[in-house]
Amino acid sequence: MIKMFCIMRVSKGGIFILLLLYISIIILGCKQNKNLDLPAINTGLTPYEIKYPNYIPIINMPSDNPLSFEGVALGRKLYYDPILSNNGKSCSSCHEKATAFTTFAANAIPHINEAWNNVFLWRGGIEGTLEDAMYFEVNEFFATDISKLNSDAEYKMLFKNVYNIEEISQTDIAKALAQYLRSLVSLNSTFDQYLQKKTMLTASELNGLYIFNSEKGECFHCHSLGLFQDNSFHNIGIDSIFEGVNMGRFMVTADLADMGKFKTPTLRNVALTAPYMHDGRFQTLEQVVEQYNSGVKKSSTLDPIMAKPSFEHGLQLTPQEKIDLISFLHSLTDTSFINNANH
Amino acid sequence: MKYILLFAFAIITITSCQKKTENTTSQLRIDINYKVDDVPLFKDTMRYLNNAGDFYSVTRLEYYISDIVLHNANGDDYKSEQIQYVNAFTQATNQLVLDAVPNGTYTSFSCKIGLTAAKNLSNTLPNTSENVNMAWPDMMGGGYHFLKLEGHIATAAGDMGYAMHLGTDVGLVNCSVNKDIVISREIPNYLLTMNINEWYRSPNLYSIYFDGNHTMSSPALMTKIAANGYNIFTIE
Ligand code: HEC
Ligand code: HEC
Repeated sequence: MIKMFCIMRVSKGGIFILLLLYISIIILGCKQNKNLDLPAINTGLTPYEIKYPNYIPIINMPSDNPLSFEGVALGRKLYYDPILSNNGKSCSSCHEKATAFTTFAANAIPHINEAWNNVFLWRGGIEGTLEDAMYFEVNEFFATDISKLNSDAEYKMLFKNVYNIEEISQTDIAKALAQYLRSLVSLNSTFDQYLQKKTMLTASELNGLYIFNSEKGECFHCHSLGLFQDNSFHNIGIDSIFEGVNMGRFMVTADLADMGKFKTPTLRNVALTAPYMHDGRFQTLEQVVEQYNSGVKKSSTLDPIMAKPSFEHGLQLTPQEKIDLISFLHSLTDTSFINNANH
Repeated sequence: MKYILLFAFAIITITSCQKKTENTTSQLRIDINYKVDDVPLFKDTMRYLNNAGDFYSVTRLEYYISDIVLHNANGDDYKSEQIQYVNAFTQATNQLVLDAVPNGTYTSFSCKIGLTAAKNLSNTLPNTSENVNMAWPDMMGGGYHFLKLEGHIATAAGDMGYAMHLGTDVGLVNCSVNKDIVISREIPNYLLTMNINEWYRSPNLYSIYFDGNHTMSSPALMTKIAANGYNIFTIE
């Protein structure tokens, strides 16, 4: 810029114009450049957006694994493919779509809105992102043989397309699976439609909501309205003596304060996910509600919420109130989720 | 002549883009920590004793801090609009950063635990995975939990849980600390310490066992606990 002034022939009258020009350059030049971030490299992938209402927490999306339609489709293909395992099983052999991806044999927390999770498994054996959870599944649970995928021309092509890689690693498989699981979003139950003022709840469902979301039932403290879980662990008093699998989070942390604590499962689609609790001990929602109503057992790690006098002496719900609470739980069923052909 | 002019231009060009560094305000960082009288707070250990005689542990301590004010003798108070979610056991949430606090000496610090009515509206704060369960049910007045203080107390019949939850107008806690606070670039941070035992001490001696181990449905109990929160903090 300075050179420019030198070659210019400056007449006396022109100096003011020059000065003006100069000042404006300085002013403009001093503006902070806010667009320093390079635009995202156009990979040719179609971004996949998850939309959610304001009563749902903000998703923490890892920046190194952006969601794309191609990535989700690749993850889905892997999920249904026994190629990942060494025993002929695919993820879907245990996690079934019709039951919101819970498992019957050893009751898993269903794959619903896992995008919002930061702890996984009943005892919180995995903490971190969905990618971390999937890495565990691929690396430890399935011990996936990556040479099988690397000698499969179609997978090589698909991974090249999504992640721009020549060699597929377990980490890449985990990332693709994470994309698929992240796409399993269920936010279109009758209750969501009610919150969005698109439909009405019946009188019974409304009364159930009241019990659920007030001190009458206290359910909201852990099954927080929205996700209906809290990424946290609680002993809800289904046992007072803890042995074997019932020791819960203690098995992961070896901390006595965690004895009998389990992760709060989401209650979305709960009408489809029987049996209930970490060990599947209850077959029906009636039994679960009766447990909360009159079966809470004391122990030193019993959750403080469950130590309310009302829990200790029983919630004292009338038969009609129990029916109402259960009909509210049924309003959390999202049929569009299990009927979604993309899942 | 031409060259002198050019030189002057060059100097102006170079200096004009430098950031203004007037030292009239400073960024203040406040780190929050916790103790029970003289001992540090640890999660889930049954070892604390309050003035009412409860032997207790703390399993959960979450709250919103808002309306932070640094009071100045000549009335030039610094007021922050910040609302922060704090979880005592999640380090990152225990750092308050206040930008552009005017330098000077302040004579006291005040804040609220909770939200004033105008701000205490359901689904208005950013909804994050951490604070997702702070919502206060609409059928109980709506808005947010101001405080969740939970744990166990020892009783003759074994350990019993308690949940001191505050919310709605009666549960709003006004906190105040009289202390000279110097704000300057040389003193970038202060330590704000919450003494858990103050919740049970004064003006209302509160026994978790006898007065009540759950406050949420009781405006009377919430009022008592909220009043005790006035001098919950000290500053160093
Ligand atoms: C042999 C049956 C079986 C197979 C095959 C299987 N899972 Fe699971 N999965 C389970 C069981 C049982 C649990 C619950 C274990 C627990 O919570 O402790 C579970 C838990 C999970 C969870 C945790 C859900 C939560 O929110 O806590 C995820 C995610 C998951 N599986 C994904 C997968 C993926 C991906 C695959 C394929 C790579 C897979 N599973 C294969 C049985 C299986
Ligand atoms: C203190 C936290 C807490 C409260 C309060 C609470 N729950 Fe739960 N809920 C849990 C946890 C943790 C589990 C899993 C326990 C286990 O598997 O051992 C669970 C499991 C369930 C299940 C079984 C879900 C499944 O997929 O297996 C249902 C249904 C349920 N709760 C409904 C309710 C209702 C209704 C209320 C109110 C009356 C309620 N909960 C109150 C924490 C809580």
